[in-house]
Amino acid sequence: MEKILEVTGLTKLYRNGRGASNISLTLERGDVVGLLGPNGSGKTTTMKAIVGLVHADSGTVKIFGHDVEEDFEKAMDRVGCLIEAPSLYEYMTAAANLRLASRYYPGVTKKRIEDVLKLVRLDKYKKDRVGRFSLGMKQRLGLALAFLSEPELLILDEPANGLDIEGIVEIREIILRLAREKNITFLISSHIAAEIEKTCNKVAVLHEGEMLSFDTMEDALARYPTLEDYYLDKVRNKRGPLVL
Amino acid sequence: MQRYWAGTLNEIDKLLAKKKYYVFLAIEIAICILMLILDKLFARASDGFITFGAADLSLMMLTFFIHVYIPLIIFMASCDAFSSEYNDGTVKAILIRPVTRLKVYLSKITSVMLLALGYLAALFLTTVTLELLFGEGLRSFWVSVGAYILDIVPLFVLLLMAVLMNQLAKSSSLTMFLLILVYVLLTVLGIFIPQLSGLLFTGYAQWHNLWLGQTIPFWPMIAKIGLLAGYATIFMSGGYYLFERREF
Repeated sequence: MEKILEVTGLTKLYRNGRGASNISLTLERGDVVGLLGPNGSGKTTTMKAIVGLVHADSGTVKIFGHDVEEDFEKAMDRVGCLIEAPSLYEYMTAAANLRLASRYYPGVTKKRIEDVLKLVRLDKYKKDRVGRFSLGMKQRLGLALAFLSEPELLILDEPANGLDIEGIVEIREIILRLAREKNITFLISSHIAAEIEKTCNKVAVLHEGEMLSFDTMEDALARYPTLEDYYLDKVRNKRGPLVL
Repeated sequence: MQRYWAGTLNEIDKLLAKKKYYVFLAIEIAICILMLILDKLFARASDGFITFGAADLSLMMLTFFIHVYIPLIIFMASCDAFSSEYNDGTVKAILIRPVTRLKVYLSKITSVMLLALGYLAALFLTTVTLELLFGEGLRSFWVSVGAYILDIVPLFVLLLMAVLMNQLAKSSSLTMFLLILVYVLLTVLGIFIPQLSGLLFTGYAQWHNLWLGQTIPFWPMIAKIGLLAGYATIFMSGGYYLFERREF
């Protein structure tokens, strides 16, 4: 299988000692990999280092075979991402935000902008200023920006953040459909085990900056009734039983 | 290059989406008209004895705008392009796209420079039109053209300094305050200590005065060009180094 993303020994520690340490994972085409861990476990730091928003202390990141530090443009050419809160120009309209992003991709047309707005159900609000949007609408627009260039690798940090139940289900269905029909590869982070269980075919557990495991969902669920049990077992193995 | 131009176009779009830049443009034009009216009123009241020199309106207004108004626009726009985007996190919208940080940095600088050139062009067109309609015709048209073009050079160095400062301060309001403070200090220093004036880049704001209307001494001019080029290199490389190492 074609390797889409290769992370090897990635370490990024902040001054307060938090961050991510010695993370290694490989994503093959069509994988939907979930990074599962609580807040502060290093999920966002790992994703930021993968897309070059922070510089890793050590380790390498290769996307489509290109090193992110050395050949950034080629590495990121077929990548879409949503890291932390969506980065939106609130004084501009939804359509204008998408138009600005589209200029970096010669193949993205006006029709594609219309299509992604429809995909995230924001087509009615395309001429509205983003500053007036609710949290959920901003999250949808952030996802539209990630989907815009028809990327082959999508990196989504807590994609369900701020969405209502219906919105969460819709985003999950979009992810599953894109993975199934277009063979798109996903790296998704979440602190909700049930969400990862329903969406991903592989899972990596992160805790206090360390990667405790990386398994297929099939293997994880063969040994544990739910992904939550799998996660708790991995965490307890590391820090010992909970004492009340 | 396609992505550099895409970035530049985006930065221009973002700057022009802010109404304040249209308001400042209107104020610029209003100041020119007001100056002409005052000049005419004073000249009439004093039988032509008191005049602000509005016969050469384009050159007279250039002196004021190149020292005060356009530097302020450059400071404001550089803060919008850099520190504001660091504060609200929107810079990430660009950095996650397939474009190198060098191209991002250069496209932001280009857009702010183009905005400043727009203000300079508007000033030139306004003053030349006013001279044509209400003055004594275009007495020094080509001198004005030369002056406006030459004064782009120190403006560019000033912009590079502003961009460097944007990498140092944490908030856009603090950056704006520091930029004004540093600019005023350097200008005042150049006035009160004339020996320093030749060494400070702010002393070359009216770059055209060194070139127009006099024989140019070759070696001193080479030294002055070298000095400005040195400032530009330091500001550019220092600013880019900090931008490249910055984490978001």
